[in-house]
Parts: sequence; structure tokens; C-alpha cells
Amino acid sequence: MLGALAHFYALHSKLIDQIGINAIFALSLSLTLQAGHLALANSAFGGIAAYVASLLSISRGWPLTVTTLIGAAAAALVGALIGWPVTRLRGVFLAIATIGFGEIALIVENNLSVTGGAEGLAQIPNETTTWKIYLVLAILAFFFWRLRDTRAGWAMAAVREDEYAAASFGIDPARVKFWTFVGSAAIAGIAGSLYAHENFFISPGDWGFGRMIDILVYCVIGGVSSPWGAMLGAAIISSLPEVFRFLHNYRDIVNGLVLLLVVIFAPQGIAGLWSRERRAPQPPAAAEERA
Amino acid sequence: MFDQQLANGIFLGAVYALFAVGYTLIFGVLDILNLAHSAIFMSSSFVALALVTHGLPFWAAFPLATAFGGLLSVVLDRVAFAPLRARGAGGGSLGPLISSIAFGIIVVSVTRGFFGPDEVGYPSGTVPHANLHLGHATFTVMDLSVLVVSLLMMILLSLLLKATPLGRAIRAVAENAKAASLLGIDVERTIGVTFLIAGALGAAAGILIGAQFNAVGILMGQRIELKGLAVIILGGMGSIPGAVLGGFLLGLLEVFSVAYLSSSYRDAIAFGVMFLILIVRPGGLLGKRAARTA
Amino acid sequence: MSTLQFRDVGVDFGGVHALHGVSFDVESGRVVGLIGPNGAGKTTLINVTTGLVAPTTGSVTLDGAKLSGRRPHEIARLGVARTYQNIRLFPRMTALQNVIVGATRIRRDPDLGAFVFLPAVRRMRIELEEHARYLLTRVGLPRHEWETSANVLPYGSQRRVEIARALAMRPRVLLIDEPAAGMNPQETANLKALIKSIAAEGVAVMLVEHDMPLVMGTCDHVAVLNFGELIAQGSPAEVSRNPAVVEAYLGSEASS
Repeated sequence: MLGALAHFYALHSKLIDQIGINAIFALSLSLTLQAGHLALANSAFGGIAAYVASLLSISRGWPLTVTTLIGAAAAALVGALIGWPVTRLRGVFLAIATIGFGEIALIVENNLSVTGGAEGLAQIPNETTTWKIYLVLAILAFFFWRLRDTRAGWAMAAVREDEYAAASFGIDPARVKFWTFVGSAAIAGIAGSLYAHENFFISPGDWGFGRMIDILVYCVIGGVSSPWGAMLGAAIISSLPEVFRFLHNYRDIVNGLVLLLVVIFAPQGIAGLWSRERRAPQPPAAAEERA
Repeated sequence: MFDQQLANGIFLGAVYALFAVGYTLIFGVLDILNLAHSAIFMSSSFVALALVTHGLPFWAAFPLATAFGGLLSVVLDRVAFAPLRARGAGGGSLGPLISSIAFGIIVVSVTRGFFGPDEVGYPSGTVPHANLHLGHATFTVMDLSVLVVSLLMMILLSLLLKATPLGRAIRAVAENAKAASLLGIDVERTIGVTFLIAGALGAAAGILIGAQFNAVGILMGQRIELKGLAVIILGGMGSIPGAVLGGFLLGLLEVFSVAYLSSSYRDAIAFGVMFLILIVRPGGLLGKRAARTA
Repeated sequence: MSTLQFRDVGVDFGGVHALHGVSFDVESGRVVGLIGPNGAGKTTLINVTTGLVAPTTGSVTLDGAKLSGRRPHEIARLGVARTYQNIRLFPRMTALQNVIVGATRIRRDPDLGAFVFLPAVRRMRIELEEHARYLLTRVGLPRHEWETSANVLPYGSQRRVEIARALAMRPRVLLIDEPAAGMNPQETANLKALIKSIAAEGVAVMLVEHDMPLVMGTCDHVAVLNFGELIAQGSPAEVSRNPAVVEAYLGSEASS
């Protein structure tokens, strides 16, 4: 039995690592989605942290834990700087601003010599191991689990449901959005650094809108506001190319179709199918009442 | 030099404007950011190329491929947005945005399946590339055609919106869909027509730019999608004159920055401007919508 | 003793005076009714108080502290609670969860305590939930509806949950916007008793309503708005005899 597991792992260790990293990315997005806002810069933050951590590893040989923490802190710092003005924007404008920021980050990475420009950074020490990834994932999962019941967790849920009503109970929506944004940048940074130290090589193209869409798909399929759903979604979508190897050329079509079907027929995602909460939100009786 | 840059900026701006108008039209009417618009832009360009490769003259392929884009856009609405509307999901929520992303992914993959991942050009002689001169600027017949056709389409759209019953219906639905239906307007049909028009405009932009640069590829949609966002933010989301103004402005800004500053940060101009506008004046130059939270 | 004071409050929406020169007080322990024909500016005045709308002139103060000009969440933290005319419960949360959110401002359990499983923190959470249950009982929500999603609750129940949620904040001021709409006589009578008991606890209550018997029977003081201006104020008896008030209601829909 143990032999069979070891064999399975040897065969699929890369995929297992990939699923873990993608799950961490998905959790980073889940944090902001739980607060009800769509921030699409997670891939960019992953990239920032990946570059910072990799450069430190290459030039100073610091251990993975240290470089990852510094990378994540760098991502969080940038997140705080642009988050301050950006999280005050309304829904779709916030999303667009974060997309714009992501593109700017990409262009900067493409043009700086220290990041290796478009050719990327190579010879990153391979320090990521499966158990490190899953340890981080477990810690994050624990954090998300306990977060739900705290005042902060309740504030996030209220802002997600109705940020104006939430404000009338003393919750500051801008502050909630700001901190979840910074937090999600940090978590994405962790994932980015782990990715870099797994794959020897990174380039700006790894952190663009394409990857952001992947992360969004993980969360939507798993269940937009559920961290468990996010991880489940990452696992399913990451495995799909393997399972559907014969559909390799059509991988994107499958992604797109699944996404479309989920959004239209199961808006709470796969996690929603399990949940005992009501699934189909009906149009609220309230009309807009803002001045 | 200045003349040339000005000309280049105007031609580039014309395409940006045409693309952005379709984008902003949907946003203005439905409060939805349609991220499948770029996929329609790209796939229609391929359709035009395919028609020309099979013997059709360019200016015969153009209306056909444009119609294709319009129809694809209607399908987009039926498949990705209408079911969500029926369920009562609002424009501000995540669903339609993600839905549009999904549809876009599907269209891009199908197109890649049919036409392959490589960039292709028009067969020689099918697109007029004769040189013209005006002042110190040199450009091709195609460049000029792009400008003329773009302007024509935008003028036609403007006339449609201002002077026809359909245009009034569209503006009414954009203002308040519920009130519009109480006035007897068939909201679903109006929305469908709006998508038809928006898709046609996006398709036209794609066909024109593909012919102008003689390069049609899978990635062209992605490249322009984000520029289009920058344009409508600059011009003001939901505002058609804003999209036109923004498009030309961005085209000029990009060309001049490449000429007088640096070419490697060219794309950063668009996003830098967009970012700046969002922070300083989220409504854009001509926009009306409130963009800040209370 | 808390006093909410409106002084010369005016709101100008692009040339239209939604409110003009409104001045009156709402004191602890008293129920002040705000009445007037539709469109008179009653909800606008509530929106001004809670910070959703900034007054163009005048000010709103609570015990001398200026409310006007502050952000909505700051005003809420000062102890101003409201219900919404069009009901704004958190749709996908249950009735109980909605009320628990109401207590966000006054929760004492530290966030970090959750991560280390402190028993003291757990106790605080349990108290929070018990208080929410108590409030739901107090507003008369049947037990079987406590775990139901807000968006599928019957209308009358939603109104009651809104009040419970506002009470969860232990507010100093409570602004209730047309709570009786759609209620039957029994429910209205319960509502009257509830509002009076809230005021008896020392809360300054302002009640916006169209149901005249309810207003007259519950309120200690009544202010009347018409076209954004205060045209009369006084005891319920005085106001109902006031010719200006009667005239304001002629031609527009009177009480249900």
C-alpha cells in the first residue's frame, strides 16, 4: 500500500506540487473575494515576490523560508501602496485598476536588467519541496478556517453582502477591502516564491493576465467565497490537463466551458453544491437607496 | 517627423477608438465589462482573412466578417449574459464578468483550433498598400481606409443613437431598463441589437487592424483588450464620445511617447494613464458614472 | 441622556431643495415621529443623519459631537443605528447572522484569540450569539425563522430582523424608516409596544411612518415635513389639529 503511494507520488510529484502552489494562489484570491471585491493582481504580486525572492536566493543564497517571507513582504508593501487609492474604487473600476497595475508590473519586469528582462531569471535554487508547500497550505487553511468566526471575518462577509448596510453598523468597507487586498498580495507572494524555487526559471510572462484568469477559474469553480472551494477548484483544474491529456489541444475550451457552465448553473461553485446554505440568491427586496 | 508621428497616432487612434466604442456601448447599456469583446475582435479578423484567401476581394469580405462579429456577439449575449439577467444577477456582480471571460476563452480556443497559433498575413495584392503623401507624412491607402471607415462607422453609430427609434430605445435601456420596459420598449430585443452593434464595431476594428498591419494572430485580442480598457477609462466608461476621444488620445500618446521617449515602455503609457485617471478622476474625461464608494 | 439635534439642515440636489432649514431634537427615552407626504424628505433626513448624504447647510449633532461630514461607519460607531425603508438585510445570511453582524461595533472578542483557541474568547462568542437570540425573541421572530436566509423571509419578518440587527449595536439613537408597511393590525400593535420598550431603555428613537394611528399612539413628539421643510411640530394631538398639516396631506395619499 505504502509502496503504491510512493510510486504514485514519484510519478506525479510535479503535478502534486503544482496543485499545492495553485491552491495557495487560489486562497490569495479567495481572501478578497470573501470581502466581495474583485482584485485581479494576484499573479502580478506573485511575480513581484518571485523575483525578489529569487534574486535573494541567487545572489545571497538565503534559505527558502527567509527569501519567501521577504518576497511576500515586498509584495504586501507594493499591495499597500497601490491598494490605498485602489480599494476606494467601486467594483468594476477596482478590477480594472488592478488589471492595469498587473500590466505595468509586467512591463517593468520585461525592461529591468536586474530581472533579466524578457529572458527571465534562471538558475533559481530548487528548494521547494512538496511538504513545504503543503505545510504552508495547511497553515493558510487553518488561518482561513479560524478567520470566519472573528470580528474581521464577519466584517468581510457583511461588506461582501452589502457594503453600504455594513457601513451603517460601524464597518469601514474601505478598510476591509484594503487589508484583504494587502493580505492577498502577501499570500500570492508566498505562492510566487514557492513557484520560482520549484521551476528553476521564471520570466515576466509567467505572471500575466493569463495566469490571473487561471486563478480566477480555480476560485469560481470551487466556490467564489469559499476557501475550501478555492483549493478544490485549483486541484480540479490543475489536474484536468493530466486527466484529459487526449484533450490537450482543447484544454482551454474545456476550461472555458466548465467556467461558463458553473457561472450560469452553479454560481456558488462546486463547494456550493455541498453547502447547506441557500444556493440561488433571489433578487433582494431592497431597491438601491443611495443618494 | 512630427507630421509622420501625428499621422501614425491618428491611424492607431482610429482603431483604438473603434474597438473602445463597442466596449463602452455594452458597459453603458448593461453595466457589464464585456471581456469577450477582444475575442470577437480577433476571430472576425481571421474570418475576413479566410474569406480573402478564398478569393473574395477585401472590401467584400469586410462587411461579411463584420456581420459575423455582430452575430457572434449576439450569441455571446444569449449564452453568457441573458441567463444571468433572467436570474436577477445585477450588472455590478461578478457573474457577467466571469461569464464573458469564459466565452472569450472558448472563442479563442476554437479559433486557434481552426486557424492555428501562428500569425498570418494577407495574400499579397489583396490589401491596397500604395503609398500616399500629405505634408511630411507618408502612409498607405490602407491606413487612410482604416481612418475613413472607422470615422464613418462612428458617425453612423452616433446618428443611429440620436435620431432613430432604435437609438432612443438603446439610450432608454441604458438609463433605466425597468423604466424602459414600462414604456413599452422590448428590453431583451434592444439588448440583443446593442450586442449586435458592439460586436460589429469590434469586428470591424479587428479586420481593419489586421489588414493594416498585415498580421492576424491569436494574441491580437489580448493585446488590444487591455488597451481598450485604458481607452474607456480615459474617455469615461459608458460614454461613446469619450471612447472616441480617448481612443485618438491614446493612439497619439503612444506614438509620440515612442518617438520622443522610449519604445520599451510604450505599453506602460496606456496603463499608466489608466491608473492615473482611476486615482485622480475615475469618471474619465467625459464619463458620468460615479466611481468611488460612498 | 443622548440628544440628537438637527439644526437648520438643508440638502440641495442640483438646484432642488430636498431639505431646507430643518431643526428639531430627538431625546433619550422619547419617540419622535417624522411624518409627511411622500417625497417630503423624510428618508433624506435619515440619510443625512447616518452620513449617506452630506447636508449642504446646517448640522446634525449627537450630544454636541458633530455627525454631519463624517463617514457613515464613523457615525454608526458613535451609536447611531437605522433600519431601511426598502430593507437592506444581508441577503444570504440567516436572520441570526444578520443580527450578529449588527453587534460588530461592540464585540469585545479579540481576533487573535480565535487562532489560539482561548476559552475566554469562546465564551464571548457564545454570549454574542445568545444576545442575538435574545433580540430575535424580543422582536418576536418565530424560532423556526432564525436560521433562514434573510432573502427568503416573509416581509414582516424581514422588518423585524432589521430592528433586531439595529438593536444589536446597543445604539444611543435609533432611526426607524417605515417599519409598519405591510403589517397587519396585530403586528402593528406589537411593533408599537416594541418601539416604546426601546425608548424606555433610554434610546432616542425617531420613527418615520405613514401609519397615523401608530404614530399618534407611539410618539411623544411629532415633526411634520412637507417639500423638505418642517411645517409643524408638537404633541401628536397638536399636530393632528394643525391646519397646515391637514392641508399638506390633502390630495396626497393619507395613512393606509
